[in-house]
Amino acid sequence: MNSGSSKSTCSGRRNVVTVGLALAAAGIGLAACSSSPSNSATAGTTGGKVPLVVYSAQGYDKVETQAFQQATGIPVQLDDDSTGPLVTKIQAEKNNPKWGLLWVDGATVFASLDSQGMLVKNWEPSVSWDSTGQQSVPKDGSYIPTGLTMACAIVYDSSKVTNPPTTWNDLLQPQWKNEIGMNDPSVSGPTYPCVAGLMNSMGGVNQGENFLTQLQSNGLDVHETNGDTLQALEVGQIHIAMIQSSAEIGATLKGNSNLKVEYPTPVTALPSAIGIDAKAPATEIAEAKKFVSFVLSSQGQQVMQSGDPHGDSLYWPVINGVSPLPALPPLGSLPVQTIDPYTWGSREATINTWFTNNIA
Amino acid sequence: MQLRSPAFGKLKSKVELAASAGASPVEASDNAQSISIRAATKRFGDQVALDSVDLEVAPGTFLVLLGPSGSGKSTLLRTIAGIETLTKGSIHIDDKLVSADGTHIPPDKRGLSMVFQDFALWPHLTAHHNVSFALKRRKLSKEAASTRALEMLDRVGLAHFAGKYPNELSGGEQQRVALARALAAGTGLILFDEPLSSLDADRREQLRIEIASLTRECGATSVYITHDQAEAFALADRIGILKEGKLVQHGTPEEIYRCPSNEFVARFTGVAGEIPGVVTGELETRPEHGGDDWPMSSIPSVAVRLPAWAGGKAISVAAPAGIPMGRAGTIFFRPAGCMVSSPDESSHVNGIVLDVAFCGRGYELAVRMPDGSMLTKVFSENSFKRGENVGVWFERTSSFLLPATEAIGPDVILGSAFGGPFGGLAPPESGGVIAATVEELAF
Amino acid sequence: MAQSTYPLTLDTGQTGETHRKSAPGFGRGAVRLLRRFNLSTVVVIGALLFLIILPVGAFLIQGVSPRPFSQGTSWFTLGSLSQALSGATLRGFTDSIGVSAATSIIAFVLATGLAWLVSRTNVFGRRIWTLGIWALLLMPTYLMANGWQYLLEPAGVMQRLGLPLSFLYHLVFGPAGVVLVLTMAGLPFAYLTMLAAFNGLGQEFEDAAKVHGANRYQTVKAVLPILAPAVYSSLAIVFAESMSDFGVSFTLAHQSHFPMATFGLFAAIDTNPSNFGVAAILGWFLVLAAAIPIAIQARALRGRSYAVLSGRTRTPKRKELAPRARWGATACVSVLFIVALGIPIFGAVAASLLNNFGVGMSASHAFTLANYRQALTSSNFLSPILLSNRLSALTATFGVVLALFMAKMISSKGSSRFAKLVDLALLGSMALPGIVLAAGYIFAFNLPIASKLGVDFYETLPLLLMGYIATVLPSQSRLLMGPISQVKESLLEACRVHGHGIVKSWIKTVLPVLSRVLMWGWLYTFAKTLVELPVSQILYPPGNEPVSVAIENLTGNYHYAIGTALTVVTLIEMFGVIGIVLLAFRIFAPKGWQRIGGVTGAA
Repeated sequence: MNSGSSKSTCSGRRNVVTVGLALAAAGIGLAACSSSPSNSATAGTTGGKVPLVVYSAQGYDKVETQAFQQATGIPVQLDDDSTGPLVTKIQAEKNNPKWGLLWVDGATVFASLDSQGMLVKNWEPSVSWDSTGQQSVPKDGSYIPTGLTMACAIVYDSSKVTNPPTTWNDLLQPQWKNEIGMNDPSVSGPTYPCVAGLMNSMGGVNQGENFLTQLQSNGLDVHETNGDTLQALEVGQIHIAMIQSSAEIGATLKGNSNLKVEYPTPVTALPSAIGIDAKAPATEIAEAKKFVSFVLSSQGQQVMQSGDPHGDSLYWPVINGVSPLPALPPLGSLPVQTIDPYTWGSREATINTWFTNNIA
Repeated sequence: MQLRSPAFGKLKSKVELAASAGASPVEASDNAQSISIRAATKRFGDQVALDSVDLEVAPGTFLVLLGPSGSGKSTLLRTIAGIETLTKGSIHIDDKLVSADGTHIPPDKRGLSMVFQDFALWPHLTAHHNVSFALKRRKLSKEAASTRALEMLDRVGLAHFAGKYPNELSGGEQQRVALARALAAGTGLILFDEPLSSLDADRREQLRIEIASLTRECGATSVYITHDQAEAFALADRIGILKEGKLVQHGTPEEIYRCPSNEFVARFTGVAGEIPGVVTGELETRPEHGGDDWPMSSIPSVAVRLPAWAGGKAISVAAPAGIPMGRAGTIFFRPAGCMVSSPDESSHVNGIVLDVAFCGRGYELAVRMPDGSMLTKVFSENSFKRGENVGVWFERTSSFLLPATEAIGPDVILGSAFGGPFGGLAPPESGGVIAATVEELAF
Repeated sequence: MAQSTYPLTLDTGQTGETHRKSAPGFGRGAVRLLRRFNLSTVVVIGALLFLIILPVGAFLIQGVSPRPFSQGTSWFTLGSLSQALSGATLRGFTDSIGVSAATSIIAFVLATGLAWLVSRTNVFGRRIWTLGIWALLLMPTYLMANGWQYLLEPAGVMQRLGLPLSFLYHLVFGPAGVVLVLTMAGLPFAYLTMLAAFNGLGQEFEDAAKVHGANRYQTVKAVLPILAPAVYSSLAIVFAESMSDFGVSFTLAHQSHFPMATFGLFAAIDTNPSNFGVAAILGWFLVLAAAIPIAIQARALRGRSYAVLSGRTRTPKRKELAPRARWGATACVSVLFIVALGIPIFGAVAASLLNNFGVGMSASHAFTLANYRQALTSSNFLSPILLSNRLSALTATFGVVLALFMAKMISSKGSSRFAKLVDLALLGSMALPGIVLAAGYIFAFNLPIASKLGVDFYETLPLLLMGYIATVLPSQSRLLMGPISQVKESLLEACRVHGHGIVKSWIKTVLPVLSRVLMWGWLYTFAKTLVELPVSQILYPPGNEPVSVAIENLTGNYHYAIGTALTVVTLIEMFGVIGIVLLAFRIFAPKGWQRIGGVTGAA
């Protein structure tokens, strides 16, 4: 008994040591794995490759960054989130930015960042823009369009809605009470341009707020993102949704043949775009530019068009030589309006706050 | 104001005898250590726990530090152990400086062992492992350590409980394991922190004897703290008495018993009662109990007159040397020095029996004296009735006068004017107490 | 004059000198302060400052002063306050207070009943109910909320099984559902508080009342005040927990368009436009709303404490319920646990087994393992689990060690004013919602000065780990204070005195004695961190999603197949680890270790 318990004291000590070692090892492993980017970042300043930090809200960003990494050997650190959180993060990091490039929908976001001097200006990849592309490229070259969707159109369940609304004002009819849904502009990237577009077409902020207030009285159901609103539509919680065109077309392709898309006049053009962090290290800026060129290459476009087939892949290309996916209607057939990103970008914070407090 | 007693270092005879006794598994240590404490001061915040204590402990001495709770004895022990640091002063163990301002040798580097009031046995280890774990510093082989631990347990009579965990043992058994643990390592210094105080009375006696015999067998220097004067007298080679952080007296048990340096020591070491008195004459000092260890002859005696209510008789008592005629003071009586019988002319004081307690070989009486004060624990072979008148006789060797000061002032300190054995011990704060005593004297 | 027998050294002068020197004077306080600055103090202060006080302070200060962190131009403004006191944030705050008040009362009532049944009657299944409480304690609120959602939402499990229950949908997706989930989540806190009170309430109090002629009502009336501190505690803790909960406000409440304060804070820093000023004001509200009741409760406890918890207290008699009452009580408790645990777990498990769950109005309701097959082949599945396990193990280990340090420092005798300050800081931090802490981290660790100092933690796993540790540290420290103050100082001293260094003495005495308590603390921290949401959600570095974030992202993006499978696997894993560690302790820990701390460990 004595020797037995003396042994146990000993093994007790060994246990402690083993656990200690294991923890130390785990700690080192953790530190190593998380510190490796910063290590290589230091190395990067001397000419090597630094990880390119991509903040993106695109459905195809994961495959696109993987393809880019494979093609160029440049490591990419992807932070995929909704546009709202990403922009917020960029604002919070203002003192000490971590991002290399931002890839989201909506020129207004970039206009707003641009006016704060946060974007690399006057740079364009050497690509052959088509007419859509040419219209979307900003004058000061502060962001680069990668595709075009409509900020919002109407998607409805044709099994429950027989005479769908064809104008925005139709949505105020009592027959749609509690049946309409949309996204929250403070979270979802395409939704602020949608709201701004409505206001623009209705004659101003006040008119637009008035419309949204009435819509809210008609039982508007606000969800966070395209996915949430679509889900509500699919499970029958709502029958009509005002969301991004790509999500709407995607939903019709998913096997629910009852869903149909309607484009009321006007629908607002929503360029997807990339902006590059002006404060990023030179190496990372160079890599970001390579990334843009890659995205707009034929290989990059192929990945974009196949990466999220029921969502963001359903865009109208902005360069010559790439045709939109067959599910998309011809762009020329749609009543498209373009809003001035700088005018509306500067109003984004105020309007979103108003929306959060009054509509959401 | 501190007593320093440097010149008693040669008291090793008993110890050396015991150490050479041989054959015992308790290793007689030839490394008994000396301790030298100088001006040791310890403060906890604004509270002074130790106030400039000077103390020398000769190798092999069994020193008992005696004092009420809060007197600083525990702090002193813990600073020796290295568990507490000193605020000021220094401690040497042998010639090594272990504690001083800026120096603190941790407890594990001081080469000592300790028995704790609450046993402090490691609850997750068996008795056997508790002992052998403390042996690790000896760097013995596993078998040797195990064997030695068992031997030590056997020595305290617990070999059969080696495999038990502390919570399966009684308090007395636990403390014996702790004793074995402290003795096992064969250190030259063993500290005891009130080891008996959490035990039942009947276990206490037994373990006290074991502690006394086993530590002396091993020859180590021991420092033992307690608040129990009987325990202190029974164990000690030397006793140090602490009060409010100060060492108020340090000497052999006999010195302390017969010649306490002040009222505090007197009362704390047990008195039957107190009566005021006035010195009426110096008696010749004559040998009484004799003996080399204790030259009683050197203790001066004086004649003192008892107060009028006590009959105004003169009796002879021990007193500080050089006490002048006419000096008032308080006479203290040890219980053993009070005898009771039917009152007659020779009785020093008459009183009334208040209580009679049978205690086996006789009776312990409480006697009320005419002024209403009491004599307690007075032994008598005969029984008396409650309320019976008795006469009391005081023996010279167990009675002593502590003089009151004539003038109470900051620079007149008890005894310092006389330089006698009782002098210089009352702390300045006790001036008030003494003044009160003077006023109460009813001549 | 006779020669003195006793050689005396009378050096009053010297002593006086010493006195004078040591008299309170210049520099003494400084010296004393320096003395206290030993290693452990530095560790404790450093940890508290670095992990909690500075980051949270940096965040909260922005409520009134956005300038220091470049979030605005003014050094002092009440703009954020007035903005926070309007619109959705104000509503969120009042909602939270209302919900928390309701929750604390309902949880108290249910918990008191349950605690009384389990501790004082012969109701069936007492061990099971105790286990259930522990499971409930570890169950994160967002998973409970998810379970209800899977079950009741349109196209949810019930509808797929042909039971639409739409009335329940409207009930649960709203304040009632929020209160329901938060009540169940708060139940364990209330239960453990009341149980301790009941266990401490010796039979003698009841006996004394009865002996003096009290009837049943009067007895209850006499005994109840003794329980008052526990009642305060229960109400305060559940209220504070509900106020600071993020899991429900992030899921069920948000889905039901029922704004709550914690979500308001999250939205203020996570959606566009971000408003850190408003977030900081909400942070203040949350901290105060949780701290005030806890402070009141701590005050109420100070005077009265559980004086009834004496060693002399006689174990109370168990009331023998009549058979019918016994079965009735058992049925009630069963229903309680079915609602608390059964339904949400059933919701998650059923959803994970349903083919194409959540994808449209599919008519089929075939059970299948396809979701798990799909999950296991997905890269989104395994890596979050592995990551969360690694982080949780590290959090639990560092957290418990650090907490041990803190607890030791605070509870060691002669504890200084400083230790009391630390204790107060910990108590305050316990009321600190994880979301406030995490928000603070975004700032403090992304300041340019941090980068300059080489503390480039922002968006890294170490920062997330720190956030986790900071979340568990206050409660762990205070939990360990009890057991550690029961470890007699002399055990350590005995070790030191008998020749062992300080580290070895700790390992050889304190650790074994506390091994069981530490193991439970470790497991609790591990399990809680494994499924922690608010700190994870705010601090996870891109590409490294902890499991909670992965579950919510997958669910949020309608990848139900993987999401539900991940939920179920995570829960199984969590309870599995607990089981394995307990078993391992039983098999491998030295016999002496197992003898100690059984009861303390479980409590």
